[in-house]
Amino acid sequence: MEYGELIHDFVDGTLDSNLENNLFVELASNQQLRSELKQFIEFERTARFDTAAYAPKAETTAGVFSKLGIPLPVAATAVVAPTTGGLMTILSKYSQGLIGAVIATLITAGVMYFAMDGIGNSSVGSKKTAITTMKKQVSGENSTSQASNIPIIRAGEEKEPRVIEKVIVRYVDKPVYVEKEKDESLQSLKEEVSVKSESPLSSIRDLGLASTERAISEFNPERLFNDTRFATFRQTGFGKDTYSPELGIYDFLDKLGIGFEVTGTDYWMFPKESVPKSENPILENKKIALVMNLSENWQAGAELRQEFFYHQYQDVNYLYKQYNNYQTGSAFLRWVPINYDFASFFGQLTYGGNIGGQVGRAMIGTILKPSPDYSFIIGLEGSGMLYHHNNEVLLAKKLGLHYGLLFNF
Amino acid sequence: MKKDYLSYTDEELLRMMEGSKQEADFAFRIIYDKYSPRLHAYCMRILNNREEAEDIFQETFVRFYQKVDSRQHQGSIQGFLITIARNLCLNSKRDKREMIGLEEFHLTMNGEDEHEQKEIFNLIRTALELIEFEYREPLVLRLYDGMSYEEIAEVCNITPENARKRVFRAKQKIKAIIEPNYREMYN
Repeated sequence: MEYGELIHDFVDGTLDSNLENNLFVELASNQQLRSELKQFIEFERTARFDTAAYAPKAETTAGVFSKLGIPLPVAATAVVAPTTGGLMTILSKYSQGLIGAVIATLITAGVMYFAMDGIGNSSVGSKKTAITTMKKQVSGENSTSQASNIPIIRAGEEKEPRVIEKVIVRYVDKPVYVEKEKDESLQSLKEEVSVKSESPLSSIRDLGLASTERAISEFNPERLFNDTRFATFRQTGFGKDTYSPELGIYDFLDKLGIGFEVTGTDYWMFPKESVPKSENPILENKKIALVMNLSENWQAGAELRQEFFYHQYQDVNYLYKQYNNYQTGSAFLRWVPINYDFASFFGQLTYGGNIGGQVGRAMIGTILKPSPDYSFIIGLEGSGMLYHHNNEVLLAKKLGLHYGLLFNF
Repeated sequence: MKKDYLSYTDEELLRMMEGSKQEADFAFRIIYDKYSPRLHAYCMRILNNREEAEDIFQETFVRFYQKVDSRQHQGSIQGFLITIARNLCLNSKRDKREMIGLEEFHLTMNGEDEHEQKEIFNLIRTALELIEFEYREPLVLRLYDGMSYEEIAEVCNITPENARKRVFRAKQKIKAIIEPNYREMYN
């Protein structure tokens, strides 16, 4: 038997021990034989590490079981993706979606910004202006920020000073102003109303003098201020009327109706966890979120939270249990169908993902508003995380009590 | 206590396959889990074509499930699976000539350490494709499927000694093919 064959049998594990000694002696002095041994070992290693050969495609496995009408198996190899990798991994995984969300947010913000500036008398911001101007006029303040169509009263003028009152006589789509001089006759007032009114507000022309007078006399600025049509932001929990008559500016974030949430959660896993947590992060089950008003009843936002999901799944060999920590990034849509001054009630859908898989949530809750600057948020939230175990889709579930603070810019 | 699926013997699994549908499905899952990697490796390295290998692999398990209850199989499940796959492979190869030739066998040796091992593996796998089927098959069964020479002999209808010789010859042939590149890599 030549040495090459001995090497083969040696690597193969079938070489007789007597021949093995002979081979070792020869190997010690024969460089070519050592090289041959190395190659034979490489053959074994090639087969062992030929992972592509051992792994059938997922669709092939699915095809086998589908053809036979058997539910897909759960193999004992794949596990939930490790939680290491951090935020950057998540960001890179979902970068396309995140970039899209950011662009959409910026476009929305831009449109809202210009819409509020450009169409003054129909926008929410303009409503605020109307309210504040009303207040100033009623309280008799003099200010250089008065609207240009209202005469400025200056001391020492020769002409008899005129006292101008500006009131809302009817609210249709926008406030309609009527100016009158206290000493003028009602007839002149009627003419002025007719001149200043434009076609969309032609109904104002139908107001009789008596009704005009009544409107003026019955005007109650406080009641008007509490009118729901003027209170869109205030009643949804943030974006209160922060306009400052003294400064005469709007805060940009207020214009966008943006709020900031910091919340925590207490969760019950389904099934109940029976292994300890993978780690104990400082910000355990905490969430931060930016929320933006889309309309009186709709809000949208983005959130980032640290949370745990409990995974338990069985295959033919093992019962797997993992209680992992994740950093989940999500976007949410909140519907606020019921608004009161002191509270609002909402339903919310959230969709996002982390390194382990996709995450979806549904929440119902309430926002308590003790102050225009901040609110308390509390809700009951169900969360689900889809993850994969050897090509099988599995779901981790939990129900949580969600509570925290909502700061209004 | 749940029984470890590795502890089921082939005989037990085959008996379960002939039982109720539920029992048969359970047994089939275990068999698939246990033997699919090796069977897939056989198909892949015998056919040298991923798509074709996937088809044969799939068909093998389907036929196994359909036939196993009508056949009083005495040997190992792996042997049975390989036999089905082998017949399918031979049928597939019958109408198809080996297209790869030595002139197509080009591998670039870059000599970088991190790629060196991968290059060697590629080199050997490519050489495996070049050797004749009668040598390649025993080698694949031995290296990839871990079969004994007796089992290889049974599958290939040869004697165990002949199986051992063919495996050795296969390695010699591969060695001869890769020798120039291998020498270049290490010298």
